[in-house]
Amino acid sequence: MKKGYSKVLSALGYVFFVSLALLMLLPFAYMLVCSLQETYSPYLISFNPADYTLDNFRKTFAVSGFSLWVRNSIVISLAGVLLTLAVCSLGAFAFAKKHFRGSRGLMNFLMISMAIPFTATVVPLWLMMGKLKMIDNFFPLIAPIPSMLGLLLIRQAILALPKELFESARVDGCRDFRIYWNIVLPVIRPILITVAILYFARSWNSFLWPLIISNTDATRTLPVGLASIQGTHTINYGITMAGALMNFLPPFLVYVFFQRYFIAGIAGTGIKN
Amino acid sequence: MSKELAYPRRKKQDWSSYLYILPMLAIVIFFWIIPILISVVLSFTQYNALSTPHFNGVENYKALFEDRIFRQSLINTLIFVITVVPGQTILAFLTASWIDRKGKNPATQFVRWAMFIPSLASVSIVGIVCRILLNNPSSPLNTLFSLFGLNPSLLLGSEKAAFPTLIVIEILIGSGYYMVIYLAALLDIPHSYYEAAKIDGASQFQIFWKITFPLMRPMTLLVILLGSISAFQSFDLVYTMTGGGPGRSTTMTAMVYLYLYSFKYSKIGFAMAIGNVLILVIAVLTIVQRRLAGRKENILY
Repeated sequence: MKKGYSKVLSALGYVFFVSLALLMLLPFAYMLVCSLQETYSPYLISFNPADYTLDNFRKTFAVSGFSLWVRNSIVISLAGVLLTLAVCSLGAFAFAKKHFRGSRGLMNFLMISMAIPFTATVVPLWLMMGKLKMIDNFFPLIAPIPSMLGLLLIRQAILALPKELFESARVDGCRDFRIYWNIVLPVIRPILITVAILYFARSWNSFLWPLIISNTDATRTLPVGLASIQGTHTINYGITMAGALMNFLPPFLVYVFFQRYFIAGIAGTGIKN
Repeated sequence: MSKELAYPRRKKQDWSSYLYILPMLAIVIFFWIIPILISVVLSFTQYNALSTPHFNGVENYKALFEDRIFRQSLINTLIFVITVVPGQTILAFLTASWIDRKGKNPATQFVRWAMFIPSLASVSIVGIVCRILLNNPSSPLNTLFSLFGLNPSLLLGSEKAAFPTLIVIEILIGSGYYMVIYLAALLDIPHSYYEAAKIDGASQFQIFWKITFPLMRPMTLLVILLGSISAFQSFDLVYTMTGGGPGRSTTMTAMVYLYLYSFKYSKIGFAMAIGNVLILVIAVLTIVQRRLAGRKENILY
C-alpha cells in the first residue's frame, strides 16, 4: 500500500504550511521586539530582558494629539464599516435577486471604479474637496470608504443562497425589503462580518488620502499622526516600531475578536444540506 | 407544483431596484468618475497645484510616450501583475484547500489565522519592516539565511534581484487575503458531494480535480480579477521598499511613477496623463479578462 508514502507527504504538507505561516508573523515579531527597546540601529536587537522597556509606548502616548488621532481613526473606521455594510448589501441584494432593466450595464459601469487606481484620483478629489470647503471635514474621510469589492463579495454570498429560501418568503407575501432585512441579512452574517473586518483594516490603514485631506489634529488619523512624529524621532527605531505596533493593534484585535465568525461561510448557518 | 409556480419569473420592471443601487452609484460617480473626468481635463494642461492650469494640448501625452522610464515602469507593472497574480492565486488556493482537507486541528487553525495577519497591517509598515529585515547583513532574517549559506543582504540593492524579491514578498503577504475568499467558498461546498464521490470510490486526487477544482471556478475568476486589479495598483510596498530603484527604474512601477509626479515633482498635468493611460490599460485588460471568463461567473452551483 501507499500508506507510508502518503503519511510522509502529509507531514511535509504540515511542515510547509506551518513554516509559511510562521514566516508571515516574522515582521510582526520583529516589530514587537524592537518596540520594547531603545535602539538606534534596527539591527542591534537585544535579547536581554533587562533592556526591555515600555518607554517607547509611553513617549508615543504623551505626544499631544495622540488621543484625538485615536478617536478620529475609530470614528472614521467604524462609520466607514457601517456605511459599507449598508451600501454594499443593498446593492448586492438588488444585483443578485431583483430583475430590472440595465442591471448588467449598471454593474459593468460600477465595476469601472475598481479599475481606477486611487492614486490617480487623489489630486482631483483634493481639488474638488477644496472647492466644496470640505478640507478638515469627516465627510471626505468616511464617504469614499464603501467600494465595489464589498458589493461583489456579498453578492456572491447571496447568489449562493438556496432558491427555496426566497420562494417560501415570496409565497408568504414578503415584500422585497422585508426579504432583504429579515431573511437575507441574518443568513449572510458571516460574509458581512468578513467584509466588516476587511474594510475596518483597510480604512484604518489608509494613509495617502487622510494625509492630504486633513490639516489639523481635529480630523487627523492615527497613521498620519504617527508618521508626523517619526520625523523628529527617526533615530530611535524603537519608537517607530512602537507606533507601527499600536497602529496594527486595533485591526488585529477586531480580527481576533470576530475570528469565530470570520470565514464561517454560509455552511455554518445550517442552511445548506 | 408546476415549474412556473415554483420559480415566479418576474418580467415586470422592478423600479425599486434602482433605489437599492443608488447609494453605491452616487459614491462611484462622486468619488471615482468625476475625479477621473477632472484628471482627463488636467492631463491636457500644465499645472503645478498652485498656479492656474495652462492648456497645452497633448504635450503631456507626447512627453509620456517618449519617456523611457515610463515605458520601463509600464513593463515592470505588467511583469508584476503576470507573476504576482498566478503566484498568490495558486498559493491561496493550495493553502485554503489544505486547511479544508485537513479539517479543524491546531495546525490548520494556526495557518488560517496567521496567513491573514499581513492583510490587517498597513502595507507600508510591512514594507518598511521587510526592508529592515533584508537590508543589512546582520539583520535577523539574514542571520537566519546565512545559516543555510545564503547571503541576501544585497537583494534590494541588486538590479537583478530587487524586483523578484518584491514580487515574492507581494505574493506572500497578499495570498492570505485570497485564501480567505477561497476558504469561505470551500466551506460552502455541500459535504454530500464529497460523500457521494467517496461512495463511488473516487480517490482524493479525483475528488480534488473533479469536484473541488471545478466548483472553485467562479471564485478563482473573482480572485484573479481582484488580484490583478490590486497588483496593478500596488504602490505602498514598492514605494517603501525600493522607491523604484536601485538605479533609476529597475523596480519603478507605474503607480510609483504617478505618485512621484503628483507629489514629489508637482507636475500634475503629466501625472494625470500617466493615470489616464494606466486606467485605459487596466480597463482593456479587465474587459478582456471578463470576456475570457464568459458568463459562467454568475453560476455558483
